Amino acid sequence: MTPEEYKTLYPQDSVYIQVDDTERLMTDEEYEAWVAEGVYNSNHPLP
Amino acid sequence: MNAVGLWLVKTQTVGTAVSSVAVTGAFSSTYNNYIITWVDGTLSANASMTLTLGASATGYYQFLNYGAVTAATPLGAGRNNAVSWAWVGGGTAGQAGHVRCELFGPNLARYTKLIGGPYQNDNAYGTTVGEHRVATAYTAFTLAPDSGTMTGGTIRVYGYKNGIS
Repeated sequence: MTPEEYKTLYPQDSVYIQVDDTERLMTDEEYEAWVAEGVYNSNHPLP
Repeated sequence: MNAVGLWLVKTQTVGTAVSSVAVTGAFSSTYNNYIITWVDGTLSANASMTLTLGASATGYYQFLNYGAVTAATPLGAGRNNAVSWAWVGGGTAGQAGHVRCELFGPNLARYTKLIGGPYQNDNAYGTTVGEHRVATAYTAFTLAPDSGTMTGGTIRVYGYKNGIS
């Protein structure tokens, strides 16, 4: 999966960070870091 | 209530399409040791679950014994001073996800032990043990899938009663 595919699957305005009962959208920096981590993990599953 | 040794100390409902859930006020001096569960929710992707303590993003040590359903070969993986604990749960895309692990001493100013996290990522299953080598007391934790999002279900935190009363 590429970052672009990941972003299409999970647009920035559709993913939330939750703290207790409060949810918010990610900042641009948070979203880019989250996409990078998710792409890496989806491309390198165990085993 | 000597017959009761495990107390429900916190519940948190999970929202829709969340990348992480932070649970505050989970650990206190009332209990030293805890069980954390997340059940009845779903994962958007094949993923395992990660756990962090408070705002700490260093000092997580861990080993996972696991295997795939397609082979009898035992496999292993380690994390050496990582940014989080991984493998404390997981699931298959579109299906139920889970977290179930024990933490020994998260609210004590000493290293925290991670005991017995049952791992899943699609067709891989296993179990993990680890340690957070930072001698700090924490009151909060965060759960997150390592890919995709989580939706619904309830996070529960249970405390082991320390004494007989």
